Amino acid sequence: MRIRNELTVFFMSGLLLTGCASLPTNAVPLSDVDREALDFSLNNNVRLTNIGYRLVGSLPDQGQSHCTRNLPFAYGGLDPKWEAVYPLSRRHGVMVVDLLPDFSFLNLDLKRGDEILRFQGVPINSIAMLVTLLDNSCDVDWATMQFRRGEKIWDMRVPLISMPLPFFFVVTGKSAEATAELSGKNVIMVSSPLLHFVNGEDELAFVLAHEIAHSMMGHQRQLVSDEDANMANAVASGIAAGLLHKTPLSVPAFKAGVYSEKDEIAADGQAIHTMLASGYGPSSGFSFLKRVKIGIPSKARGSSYQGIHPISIDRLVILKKNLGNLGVVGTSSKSMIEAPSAAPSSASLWQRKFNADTMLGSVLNSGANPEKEGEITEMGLAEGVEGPQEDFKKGDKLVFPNTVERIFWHIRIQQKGFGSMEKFNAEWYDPSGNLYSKREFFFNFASTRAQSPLVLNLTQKESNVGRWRVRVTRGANVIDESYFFIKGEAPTKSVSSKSAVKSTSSRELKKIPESVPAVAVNQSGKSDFQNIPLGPVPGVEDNYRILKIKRVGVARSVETKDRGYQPNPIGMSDVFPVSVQRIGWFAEFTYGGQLKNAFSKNFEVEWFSPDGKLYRSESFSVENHAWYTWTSVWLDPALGSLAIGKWRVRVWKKEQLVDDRVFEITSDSSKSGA
Amino acid sequence: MTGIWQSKFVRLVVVSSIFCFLSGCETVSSNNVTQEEKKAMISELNAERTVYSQKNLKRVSTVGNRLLINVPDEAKHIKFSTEGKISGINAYADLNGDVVVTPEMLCFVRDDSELAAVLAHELAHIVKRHPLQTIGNRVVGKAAGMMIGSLAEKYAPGAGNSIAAYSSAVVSSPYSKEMEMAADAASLVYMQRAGFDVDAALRVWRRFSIEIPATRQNSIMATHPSSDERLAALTSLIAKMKGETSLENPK
Repeated sequence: MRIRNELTVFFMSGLLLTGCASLPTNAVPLSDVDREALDFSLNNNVRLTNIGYRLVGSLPDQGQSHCTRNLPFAYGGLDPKWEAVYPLSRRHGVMVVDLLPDFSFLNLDLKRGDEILRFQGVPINSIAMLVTLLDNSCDVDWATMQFRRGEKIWDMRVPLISMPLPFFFVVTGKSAEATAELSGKNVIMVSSPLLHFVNGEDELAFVLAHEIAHSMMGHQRQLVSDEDANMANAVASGIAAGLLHKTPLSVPAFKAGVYSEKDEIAADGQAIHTMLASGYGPSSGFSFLKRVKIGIPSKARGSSYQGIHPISIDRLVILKKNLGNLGVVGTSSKSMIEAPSAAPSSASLWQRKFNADTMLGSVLNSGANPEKEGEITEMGLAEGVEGPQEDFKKGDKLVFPNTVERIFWHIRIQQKGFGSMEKFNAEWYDPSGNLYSKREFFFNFASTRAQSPLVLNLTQKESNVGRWRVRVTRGANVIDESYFFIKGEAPTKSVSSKSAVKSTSSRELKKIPESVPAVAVNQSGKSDFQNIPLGPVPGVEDNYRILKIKRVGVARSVETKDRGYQPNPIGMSDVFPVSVQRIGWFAEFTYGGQLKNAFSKNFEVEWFSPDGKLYRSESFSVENHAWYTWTSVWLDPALGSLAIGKWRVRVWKKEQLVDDRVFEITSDSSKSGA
Repeated sequence: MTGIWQSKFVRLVVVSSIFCFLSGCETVSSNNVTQEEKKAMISELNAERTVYSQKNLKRVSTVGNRLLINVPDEAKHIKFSTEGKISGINAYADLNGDVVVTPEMLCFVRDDSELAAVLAHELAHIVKRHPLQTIGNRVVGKAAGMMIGSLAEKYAPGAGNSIAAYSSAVVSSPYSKEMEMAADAASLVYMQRAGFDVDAALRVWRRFSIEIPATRQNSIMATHPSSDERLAALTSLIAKMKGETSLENPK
């Protein structure tokens, strides 16, 4: 079979570019190797793009002039010759390559090969057109897109990712060299051999972060010698042209060759900050560069990694010093704790993985997990995992306040994951290294998610402060081993009567509609809201219209349906039995009511117990493109009869009152329907 | 004051200090890195290089020496190395006739059987004297490169050497397809005799073909072209081998 060696798969994962697989000539059927080469290329473009998006997403906002939007899935345009594999109707259509793992929680009903027909009603004929439309979508958070799968054509609203800078990540199979380089200003190309040379995702993240830094800093590659310059001149001008026309070649050399040591050092410095901010272990950059320095011959110039990115002793020394300043190499326990504080507030969205150097997060490399690697789509720690479908994690993070009552280890797998009723073991070790709790839990055959809680003793809050470890096993296999931190700083508002006084602060005097009564404790020790009817406090409904809230209420749990766009409250009511363990407040927004810049924790909820005291108060965030939000409170069984009566929940968005409602916990089973 | 300056010793000290400062006697580089820091880093690298090299060499030698047991006597002297001047996923016979495997190749192979396939392939080239047979190509290539280089130098002053090297590489093509397939066939025999899984040969070359499609074309980029034809021949050979009870006593 004759094989053409050319760039053929035009791929764009967030943006596109080159392809990796060689193609057979026209009319030659694709071999299995061809198909596997295509899959290899597409899968690794998705992998790179996911890492790249996380890195770019952590960069500082570049302002409106750099506003750019992207899709939460990889997309690309394939050469028509691949129609045997992905039968696109157009010869230059744009297809969905895959969902990005970090955005799997969106549950978009898309799969590889789906064709993108329209974006906001505009027909899509090429990737360039789609990119242009995305670039002009700064003012919207959602786009209505039309897709085709076989005969089926459907419209779907797709959340748009906000990216500080546009970068495109591509795997190339054109060289046996393990290398990476910046092509143009924002296309980062990684050779497939480098994927084998790197030791884990953190090292790969360093490679990408380093190239991103070169681009951000405007670094130019320099020619290393006159000989190279002349070679570049000759090639640039065209040797044949020179020979034929007998014209001395005198065009200026094009920019090729290596970066200067100064630029390399600067790019390393920026890269480790980007990595830290996006949840990768920056010290892996140091180990990677050392291994390149040791393993790849320094005389191997040209397109090798060292050929493009020279690794001097000074560079290694400075990188090591910079890592020490960040507190990630040979650090004290103090700096270990401080390391994650540099992380962005988008932690709730990006699935965060730290390596052992940062001392928080999973210490298992993905390759070290013997449990069906690739089928685990999500794993981590959170304050809550809600709903039967458990699509929404509350407070997914690695640092928790010591006021938190429960911390969940959770896992999500693809459909064909573990078998039904698989048994897991979770061991929780306290800061002293002692086994604090050990639980068995099961993977329900009906669910793709499982979780196990750590229940903390809040009467010993101070002793809970420190670095904890959770180890989850299935049989002899370790599924996860993660470190997290419980910090001792005071909550925004403590659970005390003092807070109840605070609830009548100037803030609410300013913003609460006059018709809404304030919370106050009367002489009998009961709150005066005991006389307010159940449901929304009169007058607060006006806020729903202002904030474009479609539906709001309290419920036991919330699941999502219709591909995750609609919240489905479970046990929504104004009356709950005394046996209830958890009650949640939720709000569903109308189209256009999504909240921008929502990574910041700009929402606050206050739960008032029947005695009028503030039982629980906390901040919570609404994801950038969320269509609903949800927060909950765990009721302490020790409350006993004190829990019976009318409760009040009040939610704020900064200074704006969002909702204020009264519900009841009752021992009367007929009333509660229990 | 003038009297002090007239002292030879003082003048010597002052001038030496200035000279030392200007001539690089300083202990801090322009990057603010001290000599001590550099020395420490070099020591750290040397220590790690020793461990890294020994680990790689041990792995390659263990597999390679197992293969050597069953190769013809004239090839039993062959040594294995992991340190050469070529980078990338590669393995080759160096000027001493020894087999060099790059660290990138060691990362690429998934197990010892795949490594054995790579080593056995190179051993087969040496046993079959392929490097010697391609010397002619190299000489012609070198000569052609020099001619083109000198011509280029005339029209693109300074570019001659580089163009000569490039042209030389183009003309001195790697092993022919026939040589590669012959080496494959022999390598399977070496592997089977040494007790390695012969399917690993197909796995590793097939993956090479999938992940670096550029190597599927005979070009100067492909020192080991892994064409579909070659993979098909490997598949056929392996199937045939598995159908035989012993290579020494074929049916």
